[in-house]
Amino acid sequence: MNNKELITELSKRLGVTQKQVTEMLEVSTSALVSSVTETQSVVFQGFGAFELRKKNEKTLLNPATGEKMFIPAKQTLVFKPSDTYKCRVKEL
Amino acid sequence: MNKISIQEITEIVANEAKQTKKFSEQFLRELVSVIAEYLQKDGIVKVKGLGTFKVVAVEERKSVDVASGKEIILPAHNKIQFTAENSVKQTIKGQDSNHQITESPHHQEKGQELVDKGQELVDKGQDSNHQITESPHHHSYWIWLILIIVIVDLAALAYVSVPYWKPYFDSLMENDEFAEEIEYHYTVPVDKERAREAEAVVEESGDTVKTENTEVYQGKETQEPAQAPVITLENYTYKTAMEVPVRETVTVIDGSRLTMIAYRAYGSKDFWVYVYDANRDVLRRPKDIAKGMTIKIADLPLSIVDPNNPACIEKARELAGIY
Repeated sequence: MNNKELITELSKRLGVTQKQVTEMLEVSTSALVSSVTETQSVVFQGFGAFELRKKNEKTLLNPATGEKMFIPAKQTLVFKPSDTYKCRVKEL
Repeated sequence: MNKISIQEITEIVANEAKQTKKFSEQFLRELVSVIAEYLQKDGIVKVKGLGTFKVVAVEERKSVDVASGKEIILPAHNKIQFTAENSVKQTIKGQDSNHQITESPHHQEKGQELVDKGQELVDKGQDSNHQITESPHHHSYWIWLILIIVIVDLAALAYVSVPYWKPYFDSLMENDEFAEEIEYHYTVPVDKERAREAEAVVEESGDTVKTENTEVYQGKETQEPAQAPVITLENYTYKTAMEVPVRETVTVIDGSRLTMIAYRAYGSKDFWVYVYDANRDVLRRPKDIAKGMTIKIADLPLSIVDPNNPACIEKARELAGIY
């Protein structure tokens, strides 16, 4: 399912225009991302949690030139599915 | 770790979208349920501004039971994979984990910082000028302090540098004599260095092309005194390669690229730019090389074409980047 299909489905279920859904989706995702960066975890019951996880710095070796590359530590957004949802997907 | 749930997110969304809380919550719940539902159904859901959820199959694998130490087989299963969108990754990447400081304490901290900076100011001089303007209370005080420091610094600098500019002034009086002296000092070491480098080049070429050894050596000796100033990595241009004498000429055999010629002549493929530069009169583009062509190899000093010196290779690659 791509973003377009998601929007049509949501507008059908909520009974609002697709334009409104698009706007809401934009606000929601940006709110979600900023909340995650501020508080580090946003939990959706029955689905999962969005978290911030630290990736340690690392050095890589370019196999072609043997050059060493340094990748600095950074933070990434991760999704941790809840146990109930994980189990439901597992059986598929 | 702080956790927030759908309620808090609802409030933020309702505020920003100027919608009722009820609608916002309904929207978020539907959004999550649609994602969950279609992820099971389609196996992939893309949400713009967030990322992609995917169901991926994991094959069964062997593992060891931690409690009993026995080998067990983990059955094949599906798992959920989430990849954040690039834009999201970018925004999060730069964030610090202790970024939760709100605006007001931040300002207080700045004041404190400013006081601490006073110490550094003594060393830094005018560098921190703009930071001072941020604090209106200390405004004039800091400006005066900086002015005094700068003046003291300048005076000290002028005093310390007296030995350096004094001879220069003296020399201005007796202009000609001084100029000659300098030139004399300049040319002598240059020639010596040149000779040493030339020897190194000859030695190197002796390793690779034995038959040409003597010939090259003789050519070297005669050309020696007429040499222009030392060629360094900094002052190299393509004209340099055209002006220096030709060490040898190579006839292009089938399949011999510029890189191969460079490898044979200088010991590294990366120096093909120099081969090309020396033959700009016949090659309009590096690709133009063809079978049967006669290619000149410029006699460049080892300071430029040293295959063991990373700076040389770096420079050659940089030059190669232009083409």
